[in-house]
Amino acid sequence: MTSAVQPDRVLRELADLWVSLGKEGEEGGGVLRACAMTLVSVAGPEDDAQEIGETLAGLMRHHPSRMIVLRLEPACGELAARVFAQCWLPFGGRRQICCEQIEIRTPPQGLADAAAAVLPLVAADLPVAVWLRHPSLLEHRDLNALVSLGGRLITDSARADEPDRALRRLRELRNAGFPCADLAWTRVTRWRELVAQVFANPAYLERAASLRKMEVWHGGAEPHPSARYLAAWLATCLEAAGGGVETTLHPGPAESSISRVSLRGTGMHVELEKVDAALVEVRVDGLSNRAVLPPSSDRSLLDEELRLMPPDRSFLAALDRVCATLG
Amino acid sequence: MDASRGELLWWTVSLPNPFQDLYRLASPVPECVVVIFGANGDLTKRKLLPALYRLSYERRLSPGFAILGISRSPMGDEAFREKMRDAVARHLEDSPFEAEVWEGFAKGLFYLAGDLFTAETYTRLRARLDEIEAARRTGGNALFYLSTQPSQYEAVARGLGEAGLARGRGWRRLVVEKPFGRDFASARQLSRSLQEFFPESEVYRIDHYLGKETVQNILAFRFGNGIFEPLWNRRYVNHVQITAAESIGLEGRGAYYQEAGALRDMIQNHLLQVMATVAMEPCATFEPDAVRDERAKLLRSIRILKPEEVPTHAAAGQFGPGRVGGAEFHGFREEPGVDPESQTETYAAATFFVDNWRWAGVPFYIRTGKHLPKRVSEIAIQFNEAPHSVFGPERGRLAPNLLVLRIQPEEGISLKFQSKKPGAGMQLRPVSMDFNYGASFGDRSPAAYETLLLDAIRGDATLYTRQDMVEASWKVVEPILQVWGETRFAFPNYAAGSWGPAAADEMLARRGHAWRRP
Repeated sequence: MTSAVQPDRVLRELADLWVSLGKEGEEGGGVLRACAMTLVSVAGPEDDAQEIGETLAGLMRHHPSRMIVLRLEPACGELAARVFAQCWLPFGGRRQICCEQIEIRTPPQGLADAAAAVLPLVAADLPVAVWLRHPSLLEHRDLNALVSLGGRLITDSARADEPDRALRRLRELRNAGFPCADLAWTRVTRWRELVAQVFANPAYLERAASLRKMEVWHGGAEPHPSARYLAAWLATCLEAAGGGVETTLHPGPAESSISRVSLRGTGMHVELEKVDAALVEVRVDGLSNRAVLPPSSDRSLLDEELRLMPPDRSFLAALDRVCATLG
Repeated sequence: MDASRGELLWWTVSLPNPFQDLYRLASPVPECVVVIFGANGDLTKRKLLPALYRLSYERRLSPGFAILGISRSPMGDEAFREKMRDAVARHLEDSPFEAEVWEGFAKGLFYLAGDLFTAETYTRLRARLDEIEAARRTGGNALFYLSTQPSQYEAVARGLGEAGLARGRGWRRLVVEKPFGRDFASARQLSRSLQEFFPESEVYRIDHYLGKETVQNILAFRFGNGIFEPLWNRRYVNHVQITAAESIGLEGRGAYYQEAGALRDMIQNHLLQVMATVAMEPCATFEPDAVRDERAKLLRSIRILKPEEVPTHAAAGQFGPGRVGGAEFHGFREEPGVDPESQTETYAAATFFVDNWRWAGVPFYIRTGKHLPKRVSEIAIQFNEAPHSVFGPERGRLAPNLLVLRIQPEEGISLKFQSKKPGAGMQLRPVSMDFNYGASFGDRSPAAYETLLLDAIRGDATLYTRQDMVEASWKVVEPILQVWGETRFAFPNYAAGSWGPAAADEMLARRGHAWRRP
């Protein structure tokens, strides 16, 4: 049995931290405490804890939160917690803005205790989001306390060794009532936006029913979950527009989750193709345009996901459709 | 029916276009051509093209989006594209210029040279629009943007109307920049001329102040929260101060400004619109006309000053030479293009009352000026003092609660309230609870022109002013303009870098109030 982290003590340390920050701030323009949610993350054995810390720190400007990071450290003898603040001075501002961070280090055998200790540390009356970067953590029974916090559960099926299994697990969790999000779906937003922009034109929407063939080129040999999601979403949209397509996923350049999308039918051809790392060309019946598609990172994807309140019905429908194709 | 089927059904039934997903994707922007009259002017180069490019960069414009610039100078499409490329690269704020995105954007840029006063220009415009529509599939939709001298507005509307361009296969809208007339009569005349060819519902009078994120946030703050609205009335609010201070002078706009003055330039349009947003009644829905009806109603409720009330309810100022931070500034009358005897006000302050049940007796103080100590725009709502101090007179007078809605430069909201000083005894001191817009959302706020152009293309007129609003605000300022026009002021009456003339302070002191020092 590892020694316990005492939530009361952690909360007292947090209060002391704000008092000391306030005193430091009195000499300058003061300190503003910002907190819009509790954001919990677990740095599992497959994760780089420092990278996770940097991602969370980068999110703070857009999503000021009480951050709680569980670091799984086999070499760590017992549970230990520390508190600190992430502060920055907004451009042109006089007052520092600070967010609080609680870091709990735990050996593998203390994970269940550490997860349970998170419950009293959650900021009152604010939403909770739990980010499990690696989907294998979704199957970790010791993390049940985190999963049952009831907040958003965010993972990335594209990081899984077996993405199909991760997708099925996500569907199970969602069917059990957990509000899930998958960053592999979030990666598809910009592509969906470009497609939606094309079909915002009534002349093209009218002809959407004539499209018969959809091809999506994905990174790597096996279909990338993002490509699966995009194909599922497109197929659903095209059916709703009165058509139906035959879908093919092709392997493409490894560096992109999706590199090209083609929709063909009688008298209509829509194509979106990455022309470099951050640029997509949209071609509709010979009319072409270019749009910026900045490379995504955990930070940018989480940033987008944390702006939204569940349920994301398009995601859930796409997840169902993808899982149906997996059999 | 299983859960997923139910979700799918919701998704497909509730949205007419299945590709649109308002939960996550930006709402669709219809394909159209934006026709800019005055395409060689400053506004086009500094604001309109950078805003449109930025919308394209943000993937907000449809693939067939097009811009047709019109002005007198002879030029081809390519030369226009080059010129606009330089302008956008130079004036783009807070975002990078990407040559490859520009390439795609520039394919939709076209130019037509012509005299706006001759019918032949509009015949050629019609032919050009047909070509563009065929090539870019713009669906016949056109947004006509008047970025010209106000004296050309009527001629352009007539030209478009007589050439049959005010109506077409798609929608046709007309965007007009301020000033909307010089007074009530000319504003009404202008509206009539425009409405001869464009229905009022398709006339978009742009007030870029209403496009600012934090002005829009006033509506979110008031009507998205349950706790403030019960306090938002004469029973709790002592007075309201609206400030729009500029630290700079005229920046080469001396000739224009001399004709306009601070009251016409800022109060008649921007600040009265802000006041209407702060004081309007809740609207039933967030539909454009529901919001605008309430703003208009509020503007009509502002008490019109009698001529004899103007000297005590309004103050005019003009900056003279001054020193700020070691730098010397010359006075307004020494600015290029300004009459050395000019009687134009560079500072204006006024006290307004709203004659309705909610606001009866609550003064709304509005001030604006050039060359004030700092650039700041804010609304300060001062609440009444606690009716009785239980802490005894020896603790001093309790400072009243103050709610400040900051529009620029640090957008946010602050609430000042009393708190006990830590330690023995009961000493109180005011503390501030702050919400910082940037800190909470961290995003780049879209420039006002991006918001407003996008709204006009989507047909959302919520942030645009309407004829009745324009006329109501002219009625409010006209008595002041009239009295000031007949007064010989002892200008200059404030030094550059100071907070304005003494008369403005006296105006508040008469009611026991004082201007905030933001």
